[in-house]
Amino acid sequence: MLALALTVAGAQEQADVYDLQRRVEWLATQAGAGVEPLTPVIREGTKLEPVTLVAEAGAEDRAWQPGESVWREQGGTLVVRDARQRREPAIALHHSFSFTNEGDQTRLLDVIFPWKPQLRDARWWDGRHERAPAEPEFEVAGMSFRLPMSTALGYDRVVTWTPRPSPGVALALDPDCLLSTWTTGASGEEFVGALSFRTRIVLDPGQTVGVPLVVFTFPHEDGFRGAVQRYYELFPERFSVAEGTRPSLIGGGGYLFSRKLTRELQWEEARRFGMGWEWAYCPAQTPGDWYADERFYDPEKGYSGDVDRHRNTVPGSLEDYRRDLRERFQRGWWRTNIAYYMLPHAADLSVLEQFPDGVMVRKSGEPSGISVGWIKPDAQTRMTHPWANSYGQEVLREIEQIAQDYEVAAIGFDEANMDGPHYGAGIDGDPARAWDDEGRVYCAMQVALARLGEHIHQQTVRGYTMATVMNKPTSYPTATRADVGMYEWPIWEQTDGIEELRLLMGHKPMSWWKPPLPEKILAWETMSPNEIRAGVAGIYDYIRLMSLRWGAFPMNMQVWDVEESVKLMPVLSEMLREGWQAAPQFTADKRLWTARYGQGVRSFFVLANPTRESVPAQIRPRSTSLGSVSPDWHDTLFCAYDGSERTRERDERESSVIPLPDLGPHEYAILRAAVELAGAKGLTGSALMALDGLSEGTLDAAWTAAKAFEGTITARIPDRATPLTMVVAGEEREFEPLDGAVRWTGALPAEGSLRVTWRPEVSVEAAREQIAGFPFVGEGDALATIVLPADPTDRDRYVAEHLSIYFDYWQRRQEQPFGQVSMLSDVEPGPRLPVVETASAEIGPRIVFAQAIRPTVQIDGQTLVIAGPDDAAREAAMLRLLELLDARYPHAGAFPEHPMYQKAGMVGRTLEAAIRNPGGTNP
Amino acid sequence: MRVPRGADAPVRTLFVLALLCACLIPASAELQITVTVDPALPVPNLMQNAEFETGDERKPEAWGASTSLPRGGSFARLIEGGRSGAFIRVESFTSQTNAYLSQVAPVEQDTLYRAGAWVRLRGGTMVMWMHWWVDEKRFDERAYLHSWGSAPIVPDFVRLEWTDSPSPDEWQWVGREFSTWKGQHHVNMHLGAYFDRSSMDIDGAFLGLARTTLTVEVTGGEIARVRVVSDAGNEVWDSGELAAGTTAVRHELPDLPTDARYRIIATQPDGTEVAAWYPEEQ
Repeated sequence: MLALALTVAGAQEQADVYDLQRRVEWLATQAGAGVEPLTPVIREGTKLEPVTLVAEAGAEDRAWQPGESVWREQGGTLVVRDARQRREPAIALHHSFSFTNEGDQTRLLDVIFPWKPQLRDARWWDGRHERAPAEPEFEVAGMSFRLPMSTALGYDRVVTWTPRPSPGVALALDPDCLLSTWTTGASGEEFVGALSFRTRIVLDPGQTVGVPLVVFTFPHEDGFRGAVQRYYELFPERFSVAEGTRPSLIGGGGYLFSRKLTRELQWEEARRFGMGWEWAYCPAQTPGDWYADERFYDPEKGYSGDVDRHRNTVPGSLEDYRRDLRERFQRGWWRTNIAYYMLPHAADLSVLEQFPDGVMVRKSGEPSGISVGWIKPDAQTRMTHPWANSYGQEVLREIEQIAQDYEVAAIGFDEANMDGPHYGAGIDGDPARAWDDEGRVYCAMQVALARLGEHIHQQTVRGYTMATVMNKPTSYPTATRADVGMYEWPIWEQTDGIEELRLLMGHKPMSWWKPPLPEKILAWETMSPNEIRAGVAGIYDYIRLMSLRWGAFPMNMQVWDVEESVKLMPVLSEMLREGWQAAPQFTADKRLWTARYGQGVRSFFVLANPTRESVPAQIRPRSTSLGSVSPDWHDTLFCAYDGSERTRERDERESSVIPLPDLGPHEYAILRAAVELAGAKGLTGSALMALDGLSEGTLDAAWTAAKAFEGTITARIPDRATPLTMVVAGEEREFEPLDGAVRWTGALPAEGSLRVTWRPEVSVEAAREQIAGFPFVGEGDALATIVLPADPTDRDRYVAEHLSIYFDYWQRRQEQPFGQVSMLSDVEPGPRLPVVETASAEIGPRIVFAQAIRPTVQIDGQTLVIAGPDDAAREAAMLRLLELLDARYPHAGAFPEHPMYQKAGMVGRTLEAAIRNPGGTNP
Repeated sequence: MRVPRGADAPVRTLFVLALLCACLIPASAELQITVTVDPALPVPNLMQNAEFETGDERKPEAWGASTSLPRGGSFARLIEGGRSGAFIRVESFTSQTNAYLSQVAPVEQDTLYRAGAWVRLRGGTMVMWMHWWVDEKRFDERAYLHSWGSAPIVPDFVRLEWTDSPSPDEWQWVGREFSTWKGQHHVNMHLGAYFDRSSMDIDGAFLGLARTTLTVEVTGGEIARVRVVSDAGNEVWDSGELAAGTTAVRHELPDLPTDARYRIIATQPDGTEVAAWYPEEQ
């Protein structure tokens, strides 16, 4: 009877929890009931002598309540404060712990924060792995690939007939706080008793050090990924690309290996392959002298010249060097964020002679050893601690100089996973210091790198925040300061660390970073041509599916030569602009890989089939549950990525399902959230979007609910589109425009329809055939002339110039379809459209710029107009024009001359061309 | 990888006086073949419990078993199914760790050894790593075997047979020869997974002298020709046609690989062959 009563009571509670406020209160009660306050356990020194704390006012308050607690060391000089604050919208309590040393001796403190959730049979996730509860021990590489959180997932302590899943609970560090050492733990044998977070801090006399923690809940159904998802929501700045960075950063990365002669062709190559950034490997002549100046620059030693490479081969003065770097970064600015390479945690001996305190000092007191030939063949480098010593200060200055002089859009840190304790100069008073088992004080290199990342974000270049691209930012300090995280391991061999790096990076893009060398994977000499093609296809299929699953751009070398991979790049850009999400919040066949991007009506659901068999692709969106502040997917109608219609139905168990066609081997499907109807449950319906219209787009949806309802309907429109009309249940409505959506609230019928129309970002007022047929070029010659606008800006000139080389690039790539961009300087140029300041009567077909309310492409006889309210709009219009021209002038690269590709008939062709026509030679 | 077969030994004619083993093999009523070998074959295996026949369910006796990352791998000693009897199953779960069996063995300085183990590799990278510190310098010799079997692209994207991987069901020899340094008296053998997600079985570890000197004597009748051939079919020595009336042949063959068997074939003038193997048994 008791169990029945409890079950009934539980059911009633379930019915109430859709109200957010009630949910918060329920969770607070469940999570906090009976819990002791989060009281730190402190031990001191190498013998870990206990430090007894005596509570002052507030410490006995319930752990779940805002307020402040204060403890004082019994008979000592330590004061501990906990300022508790609840911040919406997440269900969390923030604990701003601070430790103050009111004495006159330095204190070495080992602090454990234990927190006991009210759960039964809870499993433990340590921030990286799910495992049996274990004490919080400091381990080798224990901080690597790990989120600073201790998480439990279990069942209600209240006994019911069947165990009732409880929201999970987590204890985590605020990632704004940098620590040199930390670990997590959980007490218990098989199941979690108490969660814990442990660190070591150093308090100088009079110093206060903060350790901010947060306790929060998350939906049980999301598993431990739900904890990560919630963690992102609590600290969005740390898990999103830095505010103010160029939007184009969210694109593919890679090496273009261009040069001054091919700078304009570099723009087009980047555009063709969906690139948003480049890795400019080591422009510095000498490692450590990142912004080269007279102190270290050696004119005899050479530099790269005007070619984008990192070898010092061309003699030249410091002015020559700077001139070429300015050209490279400033002229190259337009299409990509070129990331200026630094490895600030290593410097050449010649630099360290002037900044000796920058050398990383080991526990033994000895400086780090000398590496010969690393970074540059003639370099002799030591590891450094680039913070708060003279070298660190010089690095800060050089970051600023690089920003101001070269106007680089981003800085790249190589080997950002390197770590190591530094016992030398620059750590005095650092709040991130820790101490080792011998009581020696140090600061971690990862802390210094994170701080440099913050300094980079303080720089502004051409109105944008300078971005950080980090290679392997495998701990939370660097990952939370990186805008793009590179994974420099072959994903077809090494996958451990992928999920971990992805979770550390939050919503931000990752980039795979290893050229695929199929000839080194396949035993091609003994394979048939068909098998070779199948093997190569398998490798690229894998890369694409992994990219979709983990929100990673394949580097350009993983995209070349494969049409499907080239097509995927803008899809990844669109989804990653919305941000990868930790909790998919839908289920599908277990054999499929799943992912979610974006939130609410701007979401995408991804399904990928990594098997060699067809797999049913029906999905079940998750319903709102306790601990959730996420959208209720039951309210949402989806269409396919390309806008094709998809339906939402109910199965025999009255659960929502979205049926999809079976996925064949290595196939994938993407669903685009289209319409959200809040206020009704158990909807069925359908949605489709017409996304490829040149001047107008439409969304059509229909729904059936149990009954009429008062609700809010939110409909998606493409990025930067202008909404035109919203017709709800046959009546045109005055809608509220949002970012990428429109919204209306009111009475909605049980069965209703919706139509939304919009004008796309760039309106093309011409048919595709007119665009393709415009006389740009003819018989290898330029026919049209580009006329600059009056008072053209630098961007207008770039727009004109990029358009002018479009056909030249394409023509050269027909001659030389593979190889790096710099090689195109040796290829016979194609037609370049001339660019003139003013139109004369003699010029024939022309492309002109014009002012207009919105970005537009128009054709009027022999005149093509690129119009917009400003130069950025005209650039958008130009890029849309090029996108339309690509259908007639395609290029996706081609496989190079290698015996394997020769055997398989793939030289000079894309993979798909070779598979479509195995015996042929056509591209 | 197969046991490397030594190149044909240089042919010298020397009269070796030190005898450690003499084998008198009456092959016929007339011709007799005597073989003396220093060191005798098979050479002693300097690894203790090399076949892993003793130990508990996780670790063989006399061996260490460890990973560089906590919980990075596992070891299991299985008593049946090895190349001969027991074997060790080594798994590593991440490319961030190694997973090694290890044992320190005594060696002589300035001596050529061969070392290795039999491996059944399902995926990942197996390494045999021999190392020691000698006068503050690092002695380091290695042999690797790699399989794509653990790679995530196999088998759903690339079939294993499309790669250059050993068969996951067959034992392969992973080993090499190396010379110890002056002043070196020990070497630490590590066998196992090298920073790759790996799964493998290991059996039959070996460390022993790499070379021997084999002296052949043929007596007891007229001899037309004497040949020495290895079990791989390589011609080690051929006396050529001997002078008529030759009734005794003694020939020393230094620097022969110790991981081979040798067949001594004496031919009489009428074409009759008398042969003997050394060692007699495999």
